[in-house]
Amino acid sequence: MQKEVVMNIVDQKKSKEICISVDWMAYDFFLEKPLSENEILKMKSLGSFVYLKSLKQPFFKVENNNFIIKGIEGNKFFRVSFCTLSSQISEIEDLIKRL
Amino acid sequence: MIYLNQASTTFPKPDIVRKAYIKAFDSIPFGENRSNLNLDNENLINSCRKNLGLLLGVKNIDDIYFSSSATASFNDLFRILNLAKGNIIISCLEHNSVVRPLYNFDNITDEIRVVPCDEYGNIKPCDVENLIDLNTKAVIINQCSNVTGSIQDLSSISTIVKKNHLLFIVDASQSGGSIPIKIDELGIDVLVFTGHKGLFGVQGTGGYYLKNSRIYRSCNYGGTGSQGLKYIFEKNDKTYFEVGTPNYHGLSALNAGVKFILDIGTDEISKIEMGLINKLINELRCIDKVIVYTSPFECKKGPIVSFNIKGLSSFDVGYILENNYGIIIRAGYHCAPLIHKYLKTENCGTVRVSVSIFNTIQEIEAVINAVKDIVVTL
Repeated sequence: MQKEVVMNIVDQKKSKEICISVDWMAYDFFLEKPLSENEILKMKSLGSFVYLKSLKQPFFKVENNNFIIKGIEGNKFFRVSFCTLSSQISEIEDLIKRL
Repeated sequence: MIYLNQASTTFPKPDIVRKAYIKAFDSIPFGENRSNLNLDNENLINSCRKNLGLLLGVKNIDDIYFSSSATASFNDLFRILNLAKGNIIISCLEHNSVVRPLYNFDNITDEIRVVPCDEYGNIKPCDVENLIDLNTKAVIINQCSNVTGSIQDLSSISTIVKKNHLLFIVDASQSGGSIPIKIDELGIDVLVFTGHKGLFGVQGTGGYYLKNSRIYRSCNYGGTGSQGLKYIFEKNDKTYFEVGTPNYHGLSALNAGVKFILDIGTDEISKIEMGLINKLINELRCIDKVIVYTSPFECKKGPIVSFNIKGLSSFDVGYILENNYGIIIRAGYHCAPLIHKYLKTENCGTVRVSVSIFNTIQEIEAVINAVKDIVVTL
């Protein structure tokens, strides 16, 4: 059975953040609704997880060997940095959508 | 938004800079040797040279040339100076405007020797001396590190360089406008500056001072507005270091920026900026999990502080400061690839806060409070 799509990503654009390595690239994903705590916690399964919950607007980061996702709870966007040698942005988008 | 990324480019600019730029934009274009329009404007470029001479302590302003940036200046200078067949000594503080041309152009030099620094980005003059041998052609020093804000002892280094009859090349991109420089007094042979940082000009302006420039040949050819029929230049013909239409609009702004600095004085500017920077350093050092890479000692510093928060990458801190607090800083390596080995920040870069005299103590307090907030959550 197909899982429910929880996050509606409406747009994405190349991020201005300078990546550490030339093999890495970053995109900002734009959402229909502000990012909720539940949606953030679902991403925990994708890698090592940092969640600074006591900030006025909590910050989160999920990291594995292929990509890093980071953002702020309540914002309608988050950032995905990925290694172009091992991942495609569409694959990561798909992965997030199906969490 | 709070803008604390002044080391990348200054914002806001002084009002006289904005007015000078708009005036240039709204005026009938004049062309240096390229129009029959003969206005006072024509002296503007020389006025800029004159003001830069006052600011940088240069008597012979004809040795000051304009270019599009510090990077463009270094790319030209390395081809002008004839430094091949020997070694060049550079400090580990150098920006990619120096490092990349040196490491990537063929035939610039046979060997590059790097002077190390301490944990705050200070180099020791004796370490420069230790690297000099009979094949050394030049010593290149970044006066102010764009990572830690450390200021180098140009006077002592100059003594060593002159004793060994070498070319002394100084990068003043980060120090110009904030730190007093005396080119003639220090015996500097070449000094490179950029227009859009501490000099308060606009992007696309920069230049260099080249002592006794008449003995060198330019590496560029093109329109000069003079000798219009001549297109082949022999070795002994006049050489032109500025070719192509000058950036009149940009130089109008740069001239106004330099005048602004001359009116206030670099000592006064430095005093104001140091007030902000020292408060930030002192407060950050008291916060658990914060590592500060800028010297806490009462030494002269540029308007820059670098730090990290243990447990977060500099990029994460930059992201949080921007998106949670509206504070604009720069995170990462700051185009200075060699210094990070000595700061032990090769894996994470640094969070860099940089100020100008237009920043306020309240903005510095906002950074301190934001860092405290972040640290508490870790």
